[in-house]
Amino acid sequence: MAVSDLISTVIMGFAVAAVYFLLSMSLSLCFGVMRIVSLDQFVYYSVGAYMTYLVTAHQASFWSGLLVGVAVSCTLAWAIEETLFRRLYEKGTMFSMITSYGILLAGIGVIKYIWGLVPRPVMAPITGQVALLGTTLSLYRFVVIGLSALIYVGLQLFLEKTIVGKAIRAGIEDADKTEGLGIDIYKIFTVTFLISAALSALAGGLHAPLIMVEPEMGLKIMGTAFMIVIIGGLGSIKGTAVSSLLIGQVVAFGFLLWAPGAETAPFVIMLLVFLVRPRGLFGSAYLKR
Amino acid sequence: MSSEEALLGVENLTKRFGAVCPANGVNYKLRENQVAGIIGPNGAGKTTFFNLVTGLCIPDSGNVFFQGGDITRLSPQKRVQLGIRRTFQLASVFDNLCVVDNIRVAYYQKQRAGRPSLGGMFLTELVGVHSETIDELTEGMGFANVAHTEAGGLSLGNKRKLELAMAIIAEPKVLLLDEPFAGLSEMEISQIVEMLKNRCAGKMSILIIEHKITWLKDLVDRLSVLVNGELVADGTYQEALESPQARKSYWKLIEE
Amino acid sequence: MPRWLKRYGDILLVFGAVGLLRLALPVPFVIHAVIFAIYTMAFSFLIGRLGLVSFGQPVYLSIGAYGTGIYLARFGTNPYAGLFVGVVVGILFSLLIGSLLLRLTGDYFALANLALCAVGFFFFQKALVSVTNGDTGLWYLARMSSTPILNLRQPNNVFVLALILAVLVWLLMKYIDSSVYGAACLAVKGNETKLQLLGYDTFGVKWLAFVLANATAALAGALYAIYFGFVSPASMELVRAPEVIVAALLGGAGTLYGPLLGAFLYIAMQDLVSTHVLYWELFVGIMVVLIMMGDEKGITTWLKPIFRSGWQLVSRRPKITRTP
Ligand SMILES: Nc1ncnc2c1ncn2[C@@H]1O[C@H](COP(=O)(O)OP(=O)(O)OP(=O)(O)O)[C@@H](O)[C@H]1O
Ligand SMILES: [Mg+2]
Repeated sequence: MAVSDLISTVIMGFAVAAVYFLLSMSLSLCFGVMRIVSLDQFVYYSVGAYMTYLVTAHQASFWSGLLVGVAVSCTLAWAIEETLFRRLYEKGTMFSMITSYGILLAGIGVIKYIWGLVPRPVMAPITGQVALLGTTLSLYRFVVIGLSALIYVGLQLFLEKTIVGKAIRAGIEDADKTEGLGIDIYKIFTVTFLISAALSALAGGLHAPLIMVEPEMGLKIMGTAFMIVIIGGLGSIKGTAVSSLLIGQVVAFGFLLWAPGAETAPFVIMLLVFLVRPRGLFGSAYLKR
Repeated sequence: MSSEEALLGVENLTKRFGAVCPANGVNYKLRENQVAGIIGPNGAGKTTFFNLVTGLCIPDSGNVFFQGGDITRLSPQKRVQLGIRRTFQLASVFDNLCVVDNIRVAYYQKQRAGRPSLGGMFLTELVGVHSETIDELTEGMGFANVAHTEAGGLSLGNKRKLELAMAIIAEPKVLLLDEPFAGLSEMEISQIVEMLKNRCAGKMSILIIEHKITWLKDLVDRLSVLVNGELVADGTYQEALESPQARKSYWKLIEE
Repeated sequence: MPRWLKRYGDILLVFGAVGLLRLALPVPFVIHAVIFAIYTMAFSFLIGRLGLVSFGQPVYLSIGAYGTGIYLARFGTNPYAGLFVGVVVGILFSLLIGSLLLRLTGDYFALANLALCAVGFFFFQKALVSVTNGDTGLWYLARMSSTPILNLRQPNNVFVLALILAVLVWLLMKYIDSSVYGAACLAVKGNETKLQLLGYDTFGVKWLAFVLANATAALAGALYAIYFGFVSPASMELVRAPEVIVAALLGGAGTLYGPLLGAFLYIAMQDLVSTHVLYWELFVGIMVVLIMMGDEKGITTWLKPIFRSGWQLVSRRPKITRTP
């Protein structure tokens, strides 16, 4: 294997990991704070992607498309949280999981209704190439990696420095006790849900130029995204970051070496992790429920 | 007391959860047919002690012995099969089964010599699991009216009684009771005390964690005081309550 | 009234009704619904009795279908043998997968199954393309020639076979409910630690249930394979995972009649919707959300009292029921 292949694969792996990270992070936050499995995040992911498509198709800038995607997703998420999830927090995860699957399906139905089944391409906002050790790489991938890293740092700062962030972390530890401190836990839930939706929308928007935008894109990425969350441990931010990086590389190298491996290797890794740690790499046994 | 004559024993049992150390080198031996009590302030490690003995928690160091054998590494299920049964601080029954079915499930295990096989379970009809003991116990506990209602709908007192019934119907060698009186009325407590005296005393060893100390007075032949994961007093009811260490660390009294 | 009638009267009633439906409704619909009912019964057992929610049921269905399909397309010509192969493959597969996934707690279990479904789809569509023909699928309707009893190339006969098997599965579920094992299953759902502390092998209880349920799902898949005379990976798509969940919850999970009712209602709605609406995902999605706003027992919660009083009227004797 040539060095150039190796480098482009590693960079590709990081880019894939960046997208996976944003998406898995939103799933992980939802589970960590609200103890819900929020499959509707994949709707926001698709909406994020479709908005960049829509905006770029109207000759506006990709970045404004990204913002529109975040705005639309958050509005949608807010409405869904207010009307549906509020009723589910007290019930078991099974309820949120199945309900959100329903939302996901309905979302796919709506997308098919509006945009049809045809996959849509989205132009990357940056078409530049960089030459690196004898191979040229698309600059956009670096941008995705950089943005994702920035968001990770921003998220950490938010969680550690701000009052709301601290309340969210307290919620991850123990929602009941946090409520006991006089914090309106439902406000925290709403904020977390909106942050998650924004992350998912960003993931979708950033992913769009790397793939085709299509109605079932959410379902396509769902398996892998959940494997990442599971491998990292439900509710663990650090675990999610680590396992996105791991799976990103595994997928990239899978495509390079043996294409079927790209899709199956994460699953095999997941099973192996389960054999050693049934709660994922960083999953806590003390998470309630 | 050597570990041969003790039915259940722990040696240097230690367990930490981060900064808290609910078991700090505990040594304890329970003789056959002894009825012993454990008291101690909240968070002293009493429940943790039961968890360590029943295998729900693995100790950081130290050993658990039962009938002379080391059971430190046995699974909870194996320990139950050896004859150690417990109740929980928060009454733990099968909320989605009716009262008799709860008892039947508990009794069936005893009927199958402690090891119910899947095939046996599959081939046995649930209504076929009955015995005089079941009838007598449902009757004696006052469950006759509620026998066919789901246990989830029972009052706390009834849940505790049900859990106790499920534990003693298997005639264990050691019965561990975690705050069996908590949240019960005086009448319910005296009912349970009677039942323990009549049904269990002399047939099995009993270890009771309780905050309602006075109720233990007639019941136990031995009382220990656990504070911060350490046994600070051990003896008869009177001795334990009057021991200086217990008074100092449990009651926060300093003898002048 | 004779004892056997008292005991099995309901089965005559229910499956008699299904038989009558066969006269009134189009055959493809009834066959589809009966097979789907088998699939739903299996899932309902898992969710209602064990409290195990699996998002990967299409995998177990498809494993059975492919077991049968590959046998019929490449090896034999006897659909009964194909059915047998499908079920055996289903059993082996769920033994293996169960031993791995059942170590997980609830949420992890559901999601791991979902991942399994995604990977399974990929495997049958792409990785095993030399065996499965990928998206084209395997076609073998004409090959199912050696049929000793009922000629299963005729839908009418498939209906008879499916109905018999559905009755058997239903009886099995009913029997389990009355056995100690059934109580142990419920106990696992209610309080697994407690059951363990009563000396039961809870893993074994779950494993057996998992294998029973998923072998039944595989049986349904095998029946589909025989009925359609072809298999393709489409049956394993993730979008199809909620189908069985909707059907089970519609009828009420963990009830005996619920899955039958749910399966028929669901297939009926799907048939109606897919002829009139282009995007059925929207419809199913909204259905799921609406059902979940209710509770786990679905519409049988309010149907049951009616059934019960009807039954008491017939049997003229108040029946003492054990609460499920
Ligand atoms: N699984 C666990 N993880 C972390 N900490 C634990 C765990 N179990 C117990 N602890 C801690 O160990 C300490 C002792 O707990 P334990 O439940 O044994 O107390 P206790 O004596 O039974 O108190 P109480 O009278 O309130 O029931 C407590 O501080 C508790 O928070
Ligand atoms: Mg305690």
